[in-house]
Amino acid sequence: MNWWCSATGRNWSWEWSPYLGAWILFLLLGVSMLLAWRKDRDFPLRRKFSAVIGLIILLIATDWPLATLGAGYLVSVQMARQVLVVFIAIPLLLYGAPPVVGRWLAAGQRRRRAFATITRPLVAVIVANAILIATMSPYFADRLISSQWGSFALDIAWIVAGFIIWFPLQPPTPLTPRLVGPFAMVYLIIQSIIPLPVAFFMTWAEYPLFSVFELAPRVFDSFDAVQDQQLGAAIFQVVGGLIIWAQIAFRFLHWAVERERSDLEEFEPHEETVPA
Amino acid sequence: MALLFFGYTSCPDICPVHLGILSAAFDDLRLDGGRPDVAFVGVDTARDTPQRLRSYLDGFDPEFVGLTATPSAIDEALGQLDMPSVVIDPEGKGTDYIVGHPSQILVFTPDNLCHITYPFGTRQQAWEEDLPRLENQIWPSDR
Repeated sequence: MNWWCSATGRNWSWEWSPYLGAWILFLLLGVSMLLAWRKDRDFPLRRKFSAVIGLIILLIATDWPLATLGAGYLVSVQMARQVLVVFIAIPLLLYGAPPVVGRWLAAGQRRRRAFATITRPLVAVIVANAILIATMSPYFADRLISSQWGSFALDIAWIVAGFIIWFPLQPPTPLTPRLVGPFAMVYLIIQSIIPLPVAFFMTWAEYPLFSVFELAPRVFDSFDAVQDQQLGAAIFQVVGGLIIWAQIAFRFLHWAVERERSDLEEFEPHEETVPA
Repeated sequence: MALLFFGYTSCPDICPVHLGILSAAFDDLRLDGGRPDVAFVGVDTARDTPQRLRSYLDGFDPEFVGLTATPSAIDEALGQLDMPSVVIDPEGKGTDYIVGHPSQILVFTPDNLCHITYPFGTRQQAWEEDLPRLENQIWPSDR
């Protein structure tokens, strides 16, 4: 049993081969959450449910078969894993993070300062996108993906980038979001635009960009490395984009409803002004 | 120009990847002298029948040519090309075996000589850059 996924150069097999590290991560996070929830018994059930789904998605993204296919055979699956981790699992985990995490982050002065720095929108945009673009570059991806430690570092980098992206919008309770309403929408729009040139380059590249995937044994005979790369770019742009834009739409509707409600409250006649 | 590769149709990794990359490069390339000939020698003589070679190569490019011969003739040809012999591992165990074979592709330029070989790991971009040069009898001296 391998402890983390990596490119092996072996022929693809549908034989179940789980990764020890992925299951340890799943169990560690799961048990920690259960213990933390016991301390905050009134933590809403929908948030707990969100964390469980996030955790399951994280396991799906880091274990066989997605991790095996993504790390060693198909860049399209690697992109799908990235979308699953960064844009689905992490926001769900943050939404369902036990309040003890939020209290811990807010407790120490140094921690508070670090958290305040990393949740500055400009810092979050620059750092998260630098990480994502680096992990998508052939220079780093080809080198890291060939070893289990390298592939582990790549996956951890995605998790870190995911947290940095989503912290300003939905930090663990009882912390309050730094960005709400239109600011949150603008932030998400910027986050959706910055990685586009990379995806564009993947779509229109004449040759396969990643040697690991080009030289990997083929999983499907009629699906070559360039087609795989184009599908990967499409998954990143379309699926990743859809998730972000769904968030933007949801936040816009929420903000519009809130505004309407506050406007109504403002214009509601008070008892003393009602004419006799 | 002709490209020569010794492989086998049941190969799980090197042969399909090499041939797939070559086929993708040929799809993009327009050479003045026309497409180079590609000869794939099936070294697994027990399984690489002419019919199987044909259907295997059709999966990559119908113009790729399949060749086979007796094991001794294949080893003699490999010897003449300064390449290691074919190894069947384990020998005499039905059809459950793997075949050790040279993984490089030999390129015979228009002067009918092989000045350069391409190891496994040669990427599509390298083929597309090198084949036009080789057609014009330009090859790097250090390869």
